[in-house]
Amino acid sequence: MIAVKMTVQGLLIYVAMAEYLLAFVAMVLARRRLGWILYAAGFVAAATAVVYRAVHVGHVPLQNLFDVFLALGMLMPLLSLFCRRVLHVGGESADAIIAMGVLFPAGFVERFSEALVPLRPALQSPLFVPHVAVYLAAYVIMAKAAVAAVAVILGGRTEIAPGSPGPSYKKKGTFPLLPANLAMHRLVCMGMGLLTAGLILGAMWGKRAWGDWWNWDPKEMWSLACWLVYVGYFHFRVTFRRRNPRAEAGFVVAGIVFIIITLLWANLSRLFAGLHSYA
Amino acid sequence: MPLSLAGILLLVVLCVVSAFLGADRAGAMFNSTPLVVFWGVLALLLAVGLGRRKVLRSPGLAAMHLGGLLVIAGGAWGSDLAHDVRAGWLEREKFPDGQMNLFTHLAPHMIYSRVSVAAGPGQHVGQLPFNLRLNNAWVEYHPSGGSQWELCGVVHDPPGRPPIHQEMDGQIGRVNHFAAAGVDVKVLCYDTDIPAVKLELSHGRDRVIGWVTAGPNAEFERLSLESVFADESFWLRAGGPVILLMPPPRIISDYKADLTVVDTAGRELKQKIIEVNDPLHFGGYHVYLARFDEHSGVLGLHLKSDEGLYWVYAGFGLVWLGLIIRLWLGPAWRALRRHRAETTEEAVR
Repeated sequence: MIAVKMTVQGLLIYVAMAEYLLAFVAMVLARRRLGWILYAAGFVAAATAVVYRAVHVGHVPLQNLFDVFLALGMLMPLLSLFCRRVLHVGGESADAIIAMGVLFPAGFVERFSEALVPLRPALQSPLFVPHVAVYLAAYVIMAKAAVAAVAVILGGRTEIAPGSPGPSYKKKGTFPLLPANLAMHRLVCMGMGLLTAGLILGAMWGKRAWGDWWNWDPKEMWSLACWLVYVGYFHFRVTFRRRNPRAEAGFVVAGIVFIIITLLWANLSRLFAGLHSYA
Repeated sequence: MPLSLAGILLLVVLCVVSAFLGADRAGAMFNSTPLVVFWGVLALLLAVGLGRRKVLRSPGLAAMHLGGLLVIAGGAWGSDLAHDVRAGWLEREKFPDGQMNLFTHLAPHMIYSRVSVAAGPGQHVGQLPFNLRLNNAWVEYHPSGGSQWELCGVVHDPPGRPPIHQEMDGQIGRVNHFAAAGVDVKVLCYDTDIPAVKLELSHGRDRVIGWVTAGPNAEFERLSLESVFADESFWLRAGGPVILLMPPPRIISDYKADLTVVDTAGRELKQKIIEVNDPLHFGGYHVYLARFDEHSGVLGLHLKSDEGLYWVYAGFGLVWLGLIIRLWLGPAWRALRRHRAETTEEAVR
């Protein structure tokens, strides 16, 4: 059920969403400076929402899907900045609309409630926050990679011919951006480390909490399948010597589909009742 | 390489299929004979990959492949099948997992060592190489606030018919109209120590202030409305309207048990308070607090063998380290070298 949440928390989410949407529009209309200002304002609103939530619940807010979507909405601009400055990957307009999209369930879906629920014993582990936080960052980066992958599939600018010099980073203050194919690969490389860390931390937490590092839980199986899709991406690149960028992009798109299934369906569907059915 | 890719994609399909089966059936499927063969083939592919020159030359790739091998090997070594094989061939009496029930009313005198399977009564899987003594077990609760208490008005009139319940808003300052009794009920304040709630009851010009007190273990306490309507014969009948106060539901924050490991001679070897997320590790087993029923005093422990666990952890570490070296540090180092080379070129010009 869709509902408007007339609370302080809800209003902060709506402000952030509006600012992200305006940022997207400004960037698409090539008003980049205005777009970045609005994007930053959206981050401030989202961060305020997360801090408000943390004060309200009395612990780091990563307990349920409401908290996860809220944190994702805050994380997006930070990752955009990191991707541009460090990885030389652009696409902030897509990031802004993704940020708005991930806040939508927290802001409008009644099922994702902001009601105060004290932490259950199993969620009080010191491994809980790193496990969820690392997965959040990985999901966001893989979502960006999927956007680049779609650009590759649709015939976007692919990698520079082998042997050519790489992008020049000589000019101070400028950040030359990578073409879609290279951007996709760089983002997958970044996200893979985080995805692996999330999987390992989850296994270690499972051992401490439930007695086994692998419980064959449906969400664990979907998470492993998702990780293996990206392992398959790397093996495909080596096997076919990077001659098939569209097929590589197909792996990346499949990966984000698995992530969406893991995040939403595996958590919510009665089809997959298990240890992770806490949202 | 194509074989490795095929193996990976097949594993993806198996993971998706198993997600629809549920945890128990998925576990049974992945431990069935055909899939044991599959795991062996996967391990072989990893070993072959590890032997390739390109992989051996790259620390990151080598670490990832070795790590994957260790995870599969550790998982296999710790499996139920491997335990059975060792028990049969090597006469190593170590069970993969089991359950124990301990009783708080026998603490701290009873010593436990036999381990059973919870599936059926009297099913015995083994004996621990040490004894356990339960000193105490308890439940901890999150602190509760007064706004979560439940106020309810009940009228049993007319007799013989089901009572009329009316839920009320327990927030301080709220005025509830108890329709069946024609009374306004206003919540003035709460006392969380006792616990109790102070109410103002009004009917026309009559006004009464009273406390409804709930005991810590009582389900509810009741306040009669007779004092508000002292001159009304209506309220003198049995089953007159009352207001009930239900204490807020207590939410469990943790289960804890104080255990001591004791040897056959009665010497204490280790003492630990176990809780969720913090098991006892001793003698090749992890001891988990599985369940605790305060009313019956039964504490359920889950025991798990640690065979193969540290190979798995080593494998995790190598896989992650290998990924970081190959995907993060390597490209960063190459970018830095390229930047230095370009800077040097500029300086030369």
